[in-house]
Amino acid sequence: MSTPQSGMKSGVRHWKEQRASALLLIPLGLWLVVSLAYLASTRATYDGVHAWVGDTLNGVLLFVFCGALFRHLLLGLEVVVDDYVHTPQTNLRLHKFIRLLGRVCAAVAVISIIVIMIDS
Amino acid sequence: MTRQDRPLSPHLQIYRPQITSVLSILHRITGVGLALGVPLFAWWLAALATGPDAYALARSFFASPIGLALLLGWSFAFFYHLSNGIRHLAWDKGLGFDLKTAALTGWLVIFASLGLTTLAWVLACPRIGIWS
Repeated sequence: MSTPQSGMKSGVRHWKEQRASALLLIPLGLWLVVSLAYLASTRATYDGVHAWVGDTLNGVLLFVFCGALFRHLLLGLEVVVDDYVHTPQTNLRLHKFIRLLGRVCAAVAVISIIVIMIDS
Repeated sequence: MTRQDRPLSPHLQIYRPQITSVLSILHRITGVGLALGVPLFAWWLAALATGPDAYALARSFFASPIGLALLLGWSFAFFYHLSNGIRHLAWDKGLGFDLKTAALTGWLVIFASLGLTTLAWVLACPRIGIWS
């Protein structure tokens, strides 16, 4: 509520981005979970897991997954914060904190994927 | 709209739990829970990018009893949030909005998420060895 983006236009964009990221996450999330189950089941070693992430197709899919994931979780957490935290100052602080933490995690994940792909 | 006019979430303390309301709050809880796992997912990727020693540390954490319990929780949260998310997307299209259908799809979501969680762990279990 106290974010600079509040307003009708941003509400529509919020809604659309939430759904678009959700639609992307359905196939990509299932793909990732099945892949992780495969790696666990076959007792994949460090080299095996590294090679799996380093594979061009897997790396690109992971990249897209991370993009959709971080957009989706940021939008979701913002709604949760707005629903329960009504003190403007705390609300704004939580928004900033979540955005910062989300960006740091996204950067770490994406840079790691790129490094693994280059190393492979 | 002034702050007083804004719609409020139900006051959970005085709200009689129903299948629809319980699943609704569970969607939030699983969503927040999954978000809490994301830093660990980033850590796992970073460890993999760093090298065998860093990866061994991350791996031993996830293979520990606490790590496995967290993974079990996250796998259920994932399948629940995914199934119920599909239910939400259907509602966005105006489908299944009447109370009877909403309750029915609610139970469907519960059984689907429990079933898919079990299936995922069967697939992941080296001793069962589906892929070997």
